Amino acid sequence: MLSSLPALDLVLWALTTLGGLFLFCLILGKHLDREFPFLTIYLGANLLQTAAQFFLYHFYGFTSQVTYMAVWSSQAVIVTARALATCEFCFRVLGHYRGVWALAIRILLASGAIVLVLTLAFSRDGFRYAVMTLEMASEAFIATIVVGTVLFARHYQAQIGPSALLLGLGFGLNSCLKILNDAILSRYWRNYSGTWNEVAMIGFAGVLVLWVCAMRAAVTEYVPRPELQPAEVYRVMAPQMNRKLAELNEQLVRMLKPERPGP
Amino acid sequence: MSAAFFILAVVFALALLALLLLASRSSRRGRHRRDGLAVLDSAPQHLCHMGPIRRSQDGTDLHYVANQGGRELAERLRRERHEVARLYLDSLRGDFEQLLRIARVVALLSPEISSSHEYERVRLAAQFRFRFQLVKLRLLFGDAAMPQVAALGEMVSTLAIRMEAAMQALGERATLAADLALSSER
Repeated sequence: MLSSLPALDLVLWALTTLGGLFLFCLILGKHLDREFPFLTIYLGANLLQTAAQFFLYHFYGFTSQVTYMAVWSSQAVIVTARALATCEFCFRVLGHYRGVWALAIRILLASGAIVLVLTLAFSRDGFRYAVMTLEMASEAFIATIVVGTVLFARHYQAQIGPSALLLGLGFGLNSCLKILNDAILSRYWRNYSGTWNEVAMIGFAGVLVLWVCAMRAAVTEYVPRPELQPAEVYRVMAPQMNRKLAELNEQLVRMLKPERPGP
Repeated sequence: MSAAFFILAVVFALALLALLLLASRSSRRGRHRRDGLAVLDSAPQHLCHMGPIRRSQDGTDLHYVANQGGRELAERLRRERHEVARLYLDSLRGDFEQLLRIARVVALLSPEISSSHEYERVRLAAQFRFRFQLVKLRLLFGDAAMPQVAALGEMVSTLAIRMEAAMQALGERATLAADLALSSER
């Protein structure tokens, strides 16, 4: 049954599976699973899904209702696992800064939820594209969280290590490419359905390369934990900053106020 | 899928992708965070010039010039003085932005600062920038715009009070941690 697939599809499928397996083994081999537990779970689930797909396609074929239901149901699990791995990335970037993290996680989750609901609300295409719409909404949620995290880090000038940066780039690129791919498929079904799968697999292969680089960087990377400045530094800083602010305030208030010549 | 939703989805995805790449690129280039006292090295620098700027807005001079040199010269002087005041206002804005940067570093290194403080500072900064543009416009048209300038000053005061409270809390916690460490060593 699998032999009916185009050769390019089979090659890409094999490549992405091997890539995923390599990354999974790299994480386990280097004991990075403790550092990236949700990423490990996501990759493991992805490999299990591939194995399940292989058997489903082999025994039930591509067009069977059983295959359709099973594959798309497992996709929900995969997307959920990836969303959790994305949150893990957010925590890795901002989690050390507890004050900022408390603010960021609320804003990011709220923004992601708004984007998810808006995507579902505005795409009234009926049942035909329901699965596609759901996937696009989930990917929009993930992409919003990733981009928001990078923007938060940039705003606060929080350092992002190479491993976290590559990991985030991978998550973001994966989700954005999936949104684009699904949108094109939903709009140009007839012309694009043959290419959709290949584009998705090429995109995922690229993302896997980024993640492999991220994990290799994580092995040697030292993630500095920010520490509070000693009390003395803050005691010196506080009056200096406040004096500057008070000066600025006073000057702004007095600005353009003409000084009356004394009697 | 409707054409509108398709366009929206494509634009959204491309915009997020562009934002991600831009933000990542700047992170990779290494925007080094200046923390601690190092941030104060470039703290507000333009305040010392306020005296001459304020005197330059004195109407008495203009009356004198108008009487001695004519209306045309007085008008030219007034325009040039406003231009100087406008440039100075821009410098003050730079000072304010620098203070905000310092506040961000304090927030980054403060595990106990509540999110409401951050929301408040973001709101304050947005308000400052908006009102600053109003004042600048008023200055451009020759209006002294005193109420707006006073409102800007009020905002800076609020920021100063908030930062003082935050840093005091940080200092107390650091002292407490040091005391605990000392007592455990004993």
